[in-house]
Amino acid sequence: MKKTVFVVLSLFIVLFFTSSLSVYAQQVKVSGFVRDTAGLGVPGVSVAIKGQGNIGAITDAKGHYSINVPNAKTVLVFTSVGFMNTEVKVGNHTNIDVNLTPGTSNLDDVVVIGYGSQKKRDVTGAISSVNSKQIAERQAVDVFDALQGQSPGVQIAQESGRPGAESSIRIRGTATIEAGANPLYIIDGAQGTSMDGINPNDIESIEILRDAASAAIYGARSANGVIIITTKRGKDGKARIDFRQTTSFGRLSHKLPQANAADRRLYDLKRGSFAVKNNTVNNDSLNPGVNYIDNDYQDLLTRTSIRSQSDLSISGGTPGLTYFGSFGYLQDKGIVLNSWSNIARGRFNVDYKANSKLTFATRVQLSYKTENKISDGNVLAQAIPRIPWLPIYLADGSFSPPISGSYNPIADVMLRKNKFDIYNGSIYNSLTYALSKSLKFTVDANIATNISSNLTFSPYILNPVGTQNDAIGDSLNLATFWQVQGFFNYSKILKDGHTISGVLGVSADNSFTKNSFSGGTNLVANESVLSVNAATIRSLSTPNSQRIFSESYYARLGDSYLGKYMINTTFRADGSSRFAPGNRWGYFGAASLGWRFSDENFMNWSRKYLDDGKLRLSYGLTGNDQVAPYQYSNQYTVGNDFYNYNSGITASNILGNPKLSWEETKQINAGMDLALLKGRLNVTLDLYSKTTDKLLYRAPLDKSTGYDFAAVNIGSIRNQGVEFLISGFPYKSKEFTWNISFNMSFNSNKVLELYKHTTLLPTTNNNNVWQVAEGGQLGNLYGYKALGVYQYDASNAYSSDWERLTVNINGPGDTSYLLNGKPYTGIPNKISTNGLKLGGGDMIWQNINPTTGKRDSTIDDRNRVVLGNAIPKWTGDITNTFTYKQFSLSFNLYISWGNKLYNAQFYNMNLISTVNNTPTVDFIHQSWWHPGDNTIYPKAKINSGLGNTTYISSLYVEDASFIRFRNLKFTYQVPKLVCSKLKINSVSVFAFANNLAIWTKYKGYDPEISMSSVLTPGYDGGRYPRKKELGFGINVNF
Amino acid sequence: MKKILFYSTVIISVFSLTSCNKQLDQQPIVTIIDTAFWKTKDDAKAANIALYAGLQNVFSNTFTEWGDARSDNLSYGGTGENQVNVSLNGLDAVTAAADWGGIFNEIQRANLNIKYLPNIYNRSQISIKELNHYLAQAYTARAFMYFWGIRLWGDMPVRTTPYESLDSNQYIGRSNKDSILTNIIIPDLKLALNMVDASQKSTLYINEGAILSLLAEVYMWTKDYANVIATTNRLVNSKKYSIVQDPTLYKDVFVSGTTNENIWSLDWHFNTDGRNGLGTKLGSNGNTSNYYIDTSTTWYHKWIVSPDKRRSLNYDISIYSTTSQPKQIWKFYPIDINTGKPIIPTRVQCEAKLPFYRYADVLLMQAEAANAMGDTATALSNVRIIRDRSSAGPINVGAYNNLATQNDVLNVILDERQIELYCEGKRWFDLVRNGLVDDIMDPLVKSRQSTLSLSPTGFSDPAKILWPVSRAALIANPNLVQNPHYSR
Repeated sequence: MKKTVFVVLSLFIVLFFTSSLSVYAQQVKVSGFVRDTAGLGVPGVSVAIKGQGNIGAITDAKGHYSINVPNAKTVLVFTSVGFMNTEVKVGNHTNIDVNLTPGTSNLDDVVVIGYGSQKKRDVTGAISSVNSKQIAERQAVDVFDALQGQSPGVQIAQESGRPGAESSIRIRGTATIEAGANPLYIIDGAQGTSMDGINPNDIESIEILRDAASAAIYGARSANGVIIITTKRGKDGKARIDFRQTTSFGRLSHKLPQANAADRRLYDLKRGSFAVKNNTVNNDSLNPGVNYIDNDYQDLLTRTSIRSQSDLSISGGTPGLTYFGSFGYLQDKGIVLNSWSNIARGRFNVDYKANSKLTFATRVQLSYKTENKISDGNVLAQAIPRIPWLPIYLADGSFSPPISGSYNPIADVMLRKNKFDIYNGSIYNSLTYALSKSLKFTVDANIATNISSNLTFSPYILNPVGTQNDAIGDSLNLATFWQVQGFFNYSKILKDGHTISGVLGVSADNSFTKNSFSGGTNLVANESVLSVNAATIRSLSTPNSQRIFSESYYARLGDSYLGKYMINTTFRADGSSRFAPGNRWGYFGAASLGWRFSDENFMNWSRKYLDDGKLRLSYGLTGNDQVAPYQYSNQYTVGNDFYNYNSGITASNILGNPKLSWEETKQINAGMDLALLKGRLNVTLDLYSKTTDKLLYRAPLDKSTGYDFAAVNIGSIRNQGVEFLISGFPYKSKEFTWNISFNMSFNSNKVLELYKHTTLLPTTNNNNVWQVAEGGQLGNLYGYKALGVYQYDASNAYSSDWERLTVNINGPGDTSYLLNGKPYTGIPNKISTNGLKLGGGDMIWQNINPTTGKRDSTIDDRNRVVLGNAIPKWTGDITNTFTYKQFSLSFNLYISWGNKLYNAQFYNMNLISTVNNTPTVDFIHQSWWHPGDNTIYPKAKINSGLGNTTYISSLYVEDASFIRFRNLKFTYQVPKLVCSKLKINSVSVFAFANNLAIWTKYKGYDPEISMSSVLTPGYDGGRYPRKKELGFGINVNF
Repeated sequence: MKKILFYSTVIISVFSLTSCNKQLDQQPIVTIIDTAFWKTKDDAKAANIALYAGLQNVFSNTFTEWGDARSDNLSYGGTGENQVNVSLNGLDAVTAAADWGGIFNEIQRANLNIKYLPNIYNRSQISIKELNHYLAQAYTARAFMYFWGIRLWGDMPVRTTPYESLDSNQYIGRSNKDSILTNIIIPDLKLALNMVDASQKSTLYINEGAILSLLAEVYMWTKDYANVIATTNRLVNSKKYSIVQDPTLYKDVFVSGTTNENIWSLDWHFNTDGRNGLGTKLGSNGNTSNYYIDTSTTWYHKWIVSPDKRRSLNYDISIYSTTSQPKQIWKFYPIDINTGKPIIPTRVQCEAKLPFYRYADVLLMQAEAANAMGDTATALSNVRIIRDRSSAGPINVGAYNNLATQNDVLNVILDERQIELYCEGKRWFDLVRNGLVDDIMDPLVKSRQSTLSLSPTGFSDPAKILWPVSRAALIANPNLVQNPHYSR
């Protein structure tokens, strides 16, 4: 197997070294000043000699540059993000000043593609880039916040509005079941660095490799796409200090309707409470609870949130040595009492050029996060259904304990602890040696560590008297990772018009995780010692640990002929310790083609409108190995099977499978890039189809085997989609510009094959909510279809074929039936559930068995159908930026469309399983009460046994499409004159608003929900609500 | 050319530096790969312990629902619809306790032990006596599981060797329940009886007495009364067991499971074994027990007016009067020294020891078999031994048609079993064994339905005596046939 690898690699080696080295010539020095339309110097502009790949110089903090050029015929190209490229012929000048005009057609922008970079002009895959300027328009708290909506094909959803909430990300849909659906993150060239530890303000650029051809250089990990983040570097020249402070305030974006005391009394009446019926509670004027207390729990639980973000960075350098250091501190006090998250992030980037051949780079990233994660379930899901007149405080001012099973949500949020302390650090070093002008060798290493400590504590007072004791839990997780890489980069312009580039390398990485948990109950020392030491009864600790190793070889070869025809090929071999010997190695590869048709002669007619046009086509094979290790063998578990104080050992509940190997994703991509009207309009369009085969997942095994699951490597999922990005300048003048950018991504997903064609029924809290079946989609919500509520007992009337009859109640004892409009004379049949006949006030469910297509007499789990899909059909984003002299205004709308959510928060409220739970206002007013009531909700009868509140009901499957007014920012750039008086470089002040408005039909707090779980998406059990946020800030640059 | 050589050397050396195939061989850290197990004496012991941990998994959440909740012992309570459906005979394929996965996991554990323990003996790590005693436990555990299985579902899939590779056939159908009795359960138990080390007396592990009791119950099920008498006589004649008279000891039968009356109890310690789910079903703290005593039944009304001490053994007679429904059954919970009353544990701390077999059960099985064979004297004398211990007074023969027929005596025995073995997983099978389910449960289900203002459909279909096969099992095996009445 390895032989094959060597043969392929040798071919590349031969290609590398058969070309000759180029010649050096006499040099002329040119210098100058680069400014923007406002006359300010532009730092960081690349100055390159046309026709030569390398950047010759970069402007310093004030916009000055100097460069050596070979002769007077040389043309200099000035490129900078957000500006049009400018070309100037050197001629006899030694001082050349340049005015840059804003624009986006930057075909010479450099795109980071993994083990090297490429000019945008030469890209043949589907790669999108997000730059620091786009990120700065948002007051992002993390990378995901900065990235949402910025690129087609990338879908990001935040779990909730909690401070420190995680986000989930999918590139081109979900193409796996259990092998991890997250993309691969490459930060400054290496894996393993924490995403959480990256300050969005430190990012120079983000590249998203969407298609297989672009991602295949990362082979085995790249099936879900790759996100490459490049952090800022220092620039030659005087030290530059940037200080940025933003502060914002937020309020609960909207309240859910909540039953007040009057609603609750109506509910008690409807559910047939004896006391209420006989007016023994209602009119008791001496009962202060009933008459005076009417808690609004949402008001009691929420507050004005404050978020403050301070960032300081210093960068600069001397020739040969540049540095960038930053420190940021983000404090976020959430809208729910006692919820907060703070994170401090530090970075230090150094690039050192020891001599003309040797460069050395270091990237250090450190972060420390502390957080109090409140329990969404215990606080919000419990608060709204709590009876409005139950007290929060006792007469002595202390918190009231749970009353008749109803928790005190205010006490819960204030007293329960769920504290996290997370340390993250990574140190990356790389050494690059230029073996010749065209060939470089790089060796690098990254070492990353994550330590996370979590202390949970639930005091005695939070639990019903005598039922449960106080409890403490303490867990510590350690994750370490190292990666070593060595690779050659080759780049050469040949005289015959070919530009050859290539990569050849190896890498190895190792990840080790270890976690331990200890906990206990019945604390001594009056709960003043929050340590497991204080627990009288300790729970069994079950530590876990694993080590995973992988090793890879990779190569890339590309050729661009006259910039018109491009080809790139990639090959990679990966070995993973997750699989059995013999199945460890996976081979991945890709090829892509590009054709700049706008350069063809037959396109001459279009030159007036079309600046640039390129077609791209790619095909590739990528992999995924992200499953639990060691599953290739049958394992025996230790420490889970105690009896009589002895520890037993027995077979794990997952059957091992020695045939386990890589999951494979084949993807074809066709794309087009157009630049029109002199940079005024840019269009990128991509179509793709990707099929994942050899799905890695735990398939349910026949129960008689004694196992629950088997680790399998069989099955297939397909994702297809279209994505496009249109950006341009509808209006542009010297003083006023309007930039608009619009992207949309459509994706559809289909499960083609599963192990032994066995349908999966994923559950949450032991309740089955989803179905994953062949021919269906991932994220299908599966349950009973509600057709209404029987008005009368007699309304439960069906024909002999179990077709529903129309019932006319003409008077007492005079009922007639119609079948399809014609009188029905037979004796009507009655439908039943769990052996009980349904009557007035019970739910009418669709009684078709979807497998046989026949109607039947009993409502049971075989009547369940797919009620909707939890994955958005398309997402889109519109960003507008207006600039007028010193002012700029930008705003964006984020759209997510075509998915359903299961509103389990409302479902649970309307479960009617205990009198202590108040249902939704809707339910109270629209539930069946008296015969003849025509309602959407069933009767309010506690535990009827009639399946009226069965899992899951289409009543709670809600449309979760939304359009969010995501953010708005207004910036004022203080004029240069004022700045120089203040002895500072530049200052800008800004005001912003986040989540100003949302348009949706969803009835819960917010339709945006995490997609992190592939099998169980779209389940809203009551989450931390989102806020509307207003803020302001200042940016100072010394 | 020189350069090419140089670069090639660099590449090859870099490759060989980073490439180390040993690193790709990572072994699990917190688990054992199968090839490394079944080697030592300790492995044998650990595998044997796992048999009992497996039984805890099987019964934690099902014991009450399988053995008592469908009978007239209990009615629904607490919150949720599951109990309502169980009490009103509304089971379906998604009822939690319809899952037989735990039973087959236990059978797999037994099968692994039967297959691999001899390897440890072959390595001279354990003696033949130890091996045989381990095997006796594995065979008994397997027979015990199949016996529960055929009583709950009827026909069952059968595996007598461990399932170890995806290459072997998963999709086996269900074997006839009678053939399982004659070909697996009875032979397994006879084999176990030959292998068991009779000197091992701990009542928390499978022992000779446990095998005999189980065998007796199997013979009861097959109505092989002669063998019941023979088997129970072995237990009686062994003189190992007695009906404990001291009230503290009698309580201890359920709290420690190690008295002279206990034959086999399932031990439980929440801090190592996790909670016993029985705590949620019976006597849960906070009035949310899933099941309450059914006070609408005639047996309960007879019981509450008798001086029977077993009332206070089962519930708090000081708070539950004749009109209120006892909600917390505290039979399995230890006494608080200060109050003298049992402490209802929190759900997560329930560690009820499940009394699979005890001497009172054996005597009453013997009574039922003796009566069936016409030996009324033995039958009634055994019942009296049980009644006298609890000062329940003489049998009220007037209430049993003056014991005119064999059936009247049977009723005396069954009523005694109901009270003596209350919530010990016996009542439902007593009803099924004697064909009484419809007689007793149909009117009761009807009255429960009427109370809930539902159409009184009653127990409805004798086919519903068997449990449905769970949906999860049906989906995972296309060859499985669902029991009649339930949807495939």
